Order: sequence, then C-alpha cells, then structure tokens
Amino acid sequence: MADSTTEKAKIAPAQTVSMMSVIAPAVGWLVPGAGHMIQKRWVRGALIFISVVTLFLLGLAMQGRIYKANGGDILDILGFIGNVGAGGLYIVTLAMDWGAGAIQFATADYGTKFMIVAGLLNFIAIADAYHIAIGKKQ
Amino acid sequence: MRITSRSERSSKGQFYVTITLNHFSAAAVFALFASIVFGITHRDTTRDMVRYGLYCFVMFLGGALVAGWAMWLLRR
Repeated sequence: MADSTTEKAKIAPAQTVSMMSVIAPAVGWLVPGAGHMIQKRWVRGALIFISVVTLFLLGLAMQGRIYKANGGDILDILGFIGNVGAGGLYIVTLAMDWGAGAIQFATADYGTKFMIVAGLLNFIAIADAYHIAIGKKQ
Repeated sequence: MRITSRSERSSKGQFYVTITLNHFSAAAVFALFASIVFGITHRDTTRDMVRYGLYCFVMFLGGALVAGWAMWLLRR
C-alpha cells in the first residue's frame, strides 16, 4: 500500500510536465504567447503576443497576401506553412475573408512577408514554450 | 521614416484600413518585433534576453543600411 502511494507521488510530477508539454505548444499556436502565459511567464508571453499580433495585423493592413492550402508552387506551399504558424490569427483571417488574394502593389509584398514572419516567429515561440514545459529552459 | 494610412469601404461594404510603410520603416518594424521574439526565445536570463534582443535589432537594421549603401555604390 505504502509502495503504491510512493509510486503515485513519483509519477505525478512527470505526468504534469508531459501534459504541459502538449498543452503549452498547442495553446501557444492558437494564441501567440499564451504557451508562455499558462506557464506563468507573463511578461514574455505578453511581449510575444504583442510582437506576433502586431506584425500580422500590420501585414493585413498593408494588403498582404494570405496563402491558402495548396499543392502547387513550392513558394506558395512555404508561404502557407508560414501563415499557418500564426494559428488563431490565420484561422480568423480565413474565416473573415480578410487579406488579399494577390499582391496588387509594391508595399503589399512587405505585408505578405510580415504575415509569414509573424507565423514563423510564433513557431519559434511554440518551441520555446515546449522547452520551458519540459524543464530545458527556465 | 514615413508611415501613411487611410481607411476605406470595400465593394462588399466592409471597412478596412490600408497602411503604407516605406522600405526603412518596414525594416525597422520587422527588426523591432523579430528582435523581441529572438531575445526571449534564444536566451535564458532576462539580462541576456535584453542584450541579445538589442544585438539582433542593431544587426537587422545595420545590415539593411549596409546593404542599402552597398547597392547604392554598386549602382554608381
């Protein structure tokens, strides 16, 4: 009886870490910075949220192109992967039919790159949230 | 640095804002936000994060300026 209690006590922290290592990246993908916030890294999470969301919204305001799932040109596929990194922002953008389908003027190209970079930065933030969850980083 | 914005209504009746940044403004905005995320994710302590973020910002913007002047020289 005592042995099973001791074993449960040993297993419990490991389960918490493994649950967080799944939840933190998932939440961080859906809402940029939230993966840090649920691990009580409030300032880091807020800064990541502000950075990714501002970059993505600026890209939208600059009439940047939103890539949709496609099996065509390799650059379009890579653009889609970058956009998907923004998670919830990308889902809302698609649902509301925001963003341009094609680049119409020079500065819109900057907007397209801003949105892709926002997604890629969020991928890095997701990896960081995972590293915090598994204890590799403080 | 020049940032202009205007708001319009599309043919569908949706309200939208268009922001136009020149090349340097776009580079500065990109450098700022990318540096913040790089600083947070690539270093462990707060002090190192700030230092690395500043380093990235200077390198991003400095790289853009150096590349700009290099292209100006090549064109002449």
